[in-house]
Amino acid sequence: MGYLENKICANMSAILSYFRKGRALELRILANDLIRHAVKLDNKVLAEQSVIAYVLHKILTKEHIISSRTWPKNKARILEDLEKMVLYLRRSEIENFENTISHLHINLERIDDYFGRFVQGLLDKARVKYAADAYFMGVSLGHAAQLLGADKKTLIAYIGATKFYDKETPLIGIEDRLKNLKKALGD
Amino acid sequence: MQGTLTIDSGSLISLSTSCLFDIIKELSNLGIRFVVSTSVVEESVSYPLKVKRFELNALRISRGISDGWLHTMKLDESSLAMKKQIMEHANRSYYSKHGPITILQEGEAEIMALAYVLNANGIVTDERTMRMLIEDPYGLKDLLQMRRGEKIKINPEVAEFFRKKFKGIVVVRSAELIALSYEKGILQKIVGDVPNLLEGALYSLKYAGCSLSSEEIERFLRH
Repeated sequence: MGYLENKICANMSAILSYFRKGRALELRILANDLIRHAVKLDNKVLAEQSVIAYVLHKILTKEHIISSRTWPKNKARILEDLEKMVLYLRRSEIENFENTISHLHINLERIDDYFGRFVQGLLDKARVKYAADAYFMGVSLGHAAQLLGADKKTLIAYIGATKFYDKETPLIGIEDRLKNLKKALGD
Repeated sequence: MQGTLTIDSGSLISLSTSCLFDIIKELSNLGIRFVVSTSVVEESVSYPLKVKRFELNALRISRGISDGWLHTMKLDESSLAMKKQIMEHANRSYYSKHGPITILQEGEAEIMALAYVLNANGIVTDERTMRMLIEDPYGLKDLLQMRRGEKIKINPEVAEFFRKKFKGIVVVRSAELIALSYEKGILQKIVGDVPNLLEGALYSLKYAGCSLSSEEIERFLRH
C-alpha cells in the first residue's frame, strides 16, 4: 500500500474507533481535517470519509437517537459496516469497500428518515457543508460539488446563507462591472 | 444595446430563486442574446425538474427556453476542442506540493468555450473561481495559497492563455444584470416602482448565492 492508501485506511480505523467509543467531538475534528486533505489531494475517498465522520458525529450528538430503544441495534449495524470497510481497505478490495459505503449510506439514511426532523437529510447536509468548505479553499463551485457529490443548487443556496462572500474583497465592484458591461454592449 | 452573453447555471439559479428571472426576457427585448449550453440546461432545468424543491425554479428557466429568449446551444467540434483546452489549461495552472490543482469543472469550462467560440461580449457567472481565473489569475494563486495553507506555484504561460483568449470578453455577475435592469427601468416594470427596490433585489441575489458582499452592495447603492 502506498502513502495515500495507508492514510485512507488509518482514517477509516480512526472513524471506527471514535464511533465505537462514542467520541463525537473527535469525529468532528477528524471530519474537518479530512476535508482539508481531500481538497488538497483532490481525492473523493477522503471527501467521502469526511462526510461519514461528520454524519456519525451528528448522530452521536442527537439525544433522541442515541437514547432510543433501537439505538444498540442501529449502532451495531453501523459498526459492522465500518469494520468491513477497514477490512476491505486493508485487503485493497476496493469494490467491496465501495459497496459497503453504499450499504452504510442506506443504514444512515434509514436512521435519519426515522429520527430526523429536517427535510434535508444528514448525508446531503454534510456533502453541502463540506462542498462549501472546498469552495472556500479555492476550487470552483462545480468542482466542489463534484468532489463531495453535493447538489450544486443546494450548495449555491447554502453559500448564499453564509458570510462567505462578506469575507472576500472583490477585485471589481458592481459599478465598474456595470460600466464594462454597458461598454461591451455598446450602451 | 446589442450583444451576446453566455450565462452559467449558477447565475440562472440565483436569478430564478430570487424571482427576478424575467429580467432576462426584458433585457433580451433590448437586444441582448442570452446563450446557455446544453449541459447548463441539464443542470438547471432537466435534473431539477425531477426534484420537488427545485421544480418551480426549473420551470421558470424552462419557460425562457421554450419562449425563445434564452437560447440553448449544443457545443460543436470547435467548442468542444476549446472546452478541452480550457480544462487542460485551468487544471494545470496551479501547483501545490501534491501536484496540479483541479479548479474547474466541465460545465464551467463549457460556458467559457461557448463565449470564446461565439465571440460573445461577456460571460455571466456568479462563480468566483472562473472569474478570478480570467481576470486575476495571480490573485487566485494568493487566495489558494492562503486558504489551503500551502505554497502554490502558478504556471505563467497558462495564466497568459486565459488573458489572451478572453481579452475583450467582460465577466459580470447576475448582480450587474440587475443593476442594468434597474437603470433601464426593467426591474421597476417587473417588481413595481417601490422604495429600496435595487437594495432589496441585490440582497435577495446575495442570499440566493451570488458572490456579492454586503459592503459592495452598500457602496454601490451610495454611488
